[in-house]
Amino acid sequence: MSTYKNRLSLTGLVLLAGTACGGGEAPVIADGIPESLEAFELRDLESVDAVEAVGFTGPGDTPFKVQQRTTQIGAFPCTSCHTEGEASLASVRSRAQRTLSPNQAPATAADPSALRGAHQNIQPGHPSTSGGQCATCHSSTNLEELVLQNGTTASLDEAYRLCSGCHYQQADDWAGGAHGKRLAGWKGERVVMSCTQCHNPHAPAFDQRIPFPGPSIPRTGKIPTGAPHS
Amino acid sequence: MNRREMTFDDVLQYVGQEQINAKAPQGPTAGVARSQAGGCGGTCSSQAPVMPGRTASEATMAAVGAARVAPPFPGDVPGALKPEENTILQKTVGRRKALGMLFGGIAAGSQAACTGIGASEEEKEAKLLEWQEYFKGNFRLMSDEEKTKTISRLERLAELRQGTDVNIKATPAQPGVEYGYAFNISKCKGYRNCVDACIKENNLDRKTGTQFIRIFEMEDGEIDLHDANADFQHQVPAEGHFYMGTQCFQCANPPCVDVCPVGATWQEPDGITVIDYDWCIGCRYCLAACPYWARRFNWSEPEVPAVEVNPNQHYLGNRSRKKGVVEKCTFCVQRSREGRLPACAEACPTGARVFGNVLDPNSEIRWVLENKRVFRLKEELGTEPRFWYFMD
Repeated sequence: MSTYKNRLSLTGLVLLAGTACGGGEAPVIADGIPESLEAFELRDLESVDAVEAVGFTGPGDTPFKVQQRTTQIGAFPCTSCHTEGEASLASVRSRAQRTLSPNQAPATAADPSALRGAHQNIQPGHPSTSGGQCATCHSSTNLEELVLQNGTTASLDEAYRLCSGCHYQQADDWAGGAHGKRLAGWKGERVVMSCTQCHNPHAPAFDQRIPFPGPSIPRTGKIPTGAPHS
Repeated sequence: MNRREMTFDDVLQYVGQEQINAKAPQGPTAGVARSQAGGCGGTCSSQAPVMPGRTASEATMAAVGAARVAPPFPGDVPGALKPEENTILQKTVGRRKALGMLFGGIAAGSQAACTGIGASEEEKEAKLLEWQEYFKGNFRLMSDEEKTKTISRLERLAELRQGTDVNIKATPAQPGVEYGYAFNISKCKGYRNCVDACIKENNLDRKTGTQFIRIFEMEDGEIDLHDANADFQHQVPAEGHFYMGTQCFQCANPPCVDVCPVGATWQEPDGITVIDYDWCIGCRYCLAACPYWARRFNWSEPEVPAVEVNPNQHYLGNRSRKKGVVEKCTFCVQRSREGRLPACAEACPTGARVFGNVLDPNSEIRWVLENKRVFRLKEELGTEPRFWYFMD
């Protein structure tokens, strides 16, 4: 699998700010968009896991595919830490019993303690209208499912179905191609990234950061002479 | 193009060597009349790296002599004249080709003269390849065979001169494809990932920091680029600002092409305006004509560390440029013609860049043009950019 995937899984989304998650250590797994995607390197579709979009069609009513999320989330499946079955939210395996997800990046795999306090960096708050409770979006009975606005459930690969419940305008743009990113190329099979590939669902706004260096001659043919050029 | 057909004897006339037509040349010593040479005199001595210890006239005569008498051409060098081609005396050849052969002969003769005083085999080969490169034609007039030859020469030269193993393509425009680009000014955050990707993908000069893309930081509500700032270097996105990127817009009515006095830049059928870097004379008329400041001039020899060179190159795209020629964004012709996105579009972390085929009614770019509110920069100039801005 590509380095791209590894990088994403490093910053991978982890599920639910579980009350039972103990440990005083600082959380190591951070949510958020990657600092740099190094994305202009070839992303061939063979290295991308994708599934058919549900409930959306692209331009000209053509179906398209959406990149999978469950193969990227660092600690997926949840049962690698949480026990299976009902009420699993409150039940966490003892550390000795935890297994490592195949998605985990080598750095994490080498040091399983990195997973301690995995969800503690999540600041509930989105969506703000409902107070941003975990159960607003996550099923409280099955950790690996999202619960849609109409009460039905959806896989974590189908986050766009949940997001579009409120952000319908963005979802239309996304299906049409004006929002989001297409993978691999402009031609051939259309595979797009899902909402949560770029947006941290717990804090969807993009962060501020220092940009890559600007031009040495910003606008005109004049060469800057030490003084700030404006 | 002026392609006056000439015979080899015409060529000899051209360099003022009538005398030797009458008598068979006797090697270097026959060269006495070179100083009277007409049309070619100044150019030859300024362009030709005449080897130490030999005058231009001697070298020319050596070459002419060699061509007539027989085979001291280095037949083992790729692209060099082969003995059977010496029947050229009876054939008609183009002026350019004939001159190229003459000068190829000069180079060979000069090399023969200075063998053993320092020039390595590789240096000789590179010199000869550079000679042959100097006399090649405009890319648009090349036959497929000529394209193959020049590409193999350029690849070999990259190996000899820069130590890089590059793969240069000449993929033509795909039928039924015209590219279009849309830029979402609501989405761009000014991170400049596109700029970084562009530099790496297109082998832009690292020494002077050439950049094809500029991202303007604009105050909310502002639309005048004159008041915008393209060299911001602080936390972005800044409060109360939006970001607007410019690059070459691949205009459908490109003023830069109109003003080129030598036909070194033109619009391809898929809408990309390209430059033949080996035909450009560096007059920079196109820089003056472009209303978007999209073109860049190499004031010095561009430098890219060998390890950072992107080896996937296109003759009209990101192959290595030289001092004194113009370059510009080509929508990453080396990528887009293979169905891939330009590096800037693929690197954008915010999804502000949409690229595709405007002739395909089911493409993303068409969806944007049909469903979003779009505008183009300085549309009143009639340049018809293939680059639209839109907002959420």
